[in-house]
Amino acid sequence: MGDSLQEKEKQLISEFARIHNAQECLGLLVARARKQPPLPADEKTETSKVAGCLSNLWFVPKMRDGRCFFQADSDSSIVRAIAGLLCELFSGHAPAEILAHDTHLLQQTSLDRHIASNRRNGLGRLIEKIRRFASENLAQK
Amino acid sequence: MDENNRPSKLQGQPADVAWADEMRPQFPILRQLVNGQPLAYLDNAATTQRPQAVIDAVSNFYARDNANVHRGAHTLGNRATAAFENARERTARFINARGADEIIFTRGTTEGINLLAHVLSASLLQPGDQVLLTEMEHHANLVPWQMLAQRHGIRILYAPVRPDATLDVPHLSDLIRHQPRIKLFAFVHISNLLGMINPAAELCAMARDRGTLTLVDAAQSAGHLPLDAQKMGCDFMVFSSHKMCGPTGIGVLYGRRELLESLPPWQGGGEMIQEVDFGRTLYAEPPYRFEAGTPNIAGAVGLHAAMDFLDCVGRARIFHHDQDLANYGYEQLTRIDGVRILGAEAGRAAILSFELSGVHPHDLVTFADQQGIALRGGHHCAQPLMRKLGLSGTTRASFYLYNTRDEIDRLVEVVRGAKKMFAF
Repeated sequence: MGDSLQEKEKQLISEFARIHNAQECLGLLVARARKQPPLPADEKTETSKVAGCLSNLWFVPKMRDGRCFFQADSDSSIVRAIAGLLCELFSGHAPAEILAHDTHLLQQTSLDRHIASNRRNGLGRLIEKIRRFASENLAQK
Repeated sequence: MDENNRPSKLQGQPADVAWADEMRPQFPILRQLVNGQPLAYLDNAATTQRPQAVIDAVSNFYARDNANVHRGAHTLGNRATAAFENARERTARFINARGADEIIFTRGTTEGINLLAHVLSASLLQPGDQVLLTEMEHHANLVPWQMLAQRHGIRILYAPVRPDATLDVPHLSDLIRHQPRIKLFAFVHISNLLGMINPAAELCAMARDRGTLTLVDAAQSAGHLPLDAQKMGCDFMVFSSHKMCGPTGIGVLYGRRELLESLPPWQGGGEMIQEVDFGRTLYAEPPYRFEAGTPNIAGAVGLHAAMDFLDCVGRARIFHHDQDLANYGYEQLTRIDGVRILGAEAGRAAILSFELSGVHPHDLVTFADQQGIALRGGHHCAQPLMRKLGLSGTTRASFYLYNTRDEIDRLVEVVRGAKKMFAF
């Protein structure tokens, strides 16, 4: 958890830099989706659903010891993996760090080219939700 | 083939490869690679592609004849008016209406239904009257009536769909017989979700016997089989140009002359008037009464070319080709473990909506797209039926005259590949 957000983002981007084509990219996403722990059924509620995504996407933010932790799940493997990447990137960081970091993960991994525009909207909303949660918890402090 | 009867399954019909080979070069968009693979466009229930003849007709209209219609006294105005009214006459012949005055140009199926809902609520439908729909309607034939129910106090009844995804006709017949306040029965000819073909003539006759008006949503049928409004016996029919090789933004509302004459206008403006004074307006006769503002003239010209194209190919032959692909696709896809196709095997159009166990429809669509195959995933604008069937989405492959058995073989390989990649 010691890495800065910038370092973590660089590592994630380098993981995708080895990919040569769209099919390999999909393979990597599916492998990540398989490894990702699922959200418990009782946390997949209407309130935890992210609107605007073609598939179901659930998002649960939590605060622990002044740091934010995020978990996401979806019935689509692709969405589950990409949402998981964003959660992995921002989890374990303080609200101020999250708000100071303008992520370009989807663009720099070229994942935005592999997802339909309506899916991009849902994932864009996920980033907004991460930032809003950070902002709300920053205000509380 | 009588389009009003349920077609029987064509056993062992060989694909008309030579015919598809003749069709494909006429569609320039098909001559491309998508993600490095030849495009297999299997999303025809959403929109079809346009042949060169349609592209040329629209382009030539703008290059040579463009002007506003009806009141221009100059040469271009006359040409544009003639082109627009010729398109109306062509449409009347296409569906065997009694005359061009029964053809109203709209923006598409959705606008046609909204138009009709509005004008009926201002005339024939009283609060407390009922509109009968089926559970397999597209949102376009649900939401306008729900809006009318809220605004005008009409009630909506739904004819149920059986577990095999066919319409429960005996139940429907009971409803029509025992609910005296049903004033309109609006139903889909071919379901965009299930691909099932409803027996339109039989349903219209059933309604007519009880004095109930009928509206047929022919969006998925107009470009796929011969349509005869008189033989079908419907009072109104709607369809969209873009689902039958024509341009987007234009569609048709057919209405029986006597009914259109009795209905008030929808939108007000230019074109729909006979005379306007500061105090009052005399409305034009149908169909102009329902066409306020400058219409989509180039769209009508393109639609005319599309209808010429379809009739040159032959709609009975298109239906035959569709049937071959639907049967072949059904047979091949159901061989894959975990595939479940919605709807019965027989009596379907060239639409296969299916689930692949353990694979989300959007993941399958993304995977197929990477291999040059265009599919559609989701609820297909039929959420109530999806819920009733206990589904949140399906993958849909829909075929048309330029599709081939080879493309279905590619689809089958992709489905197998997706199963291997995603299912866990």
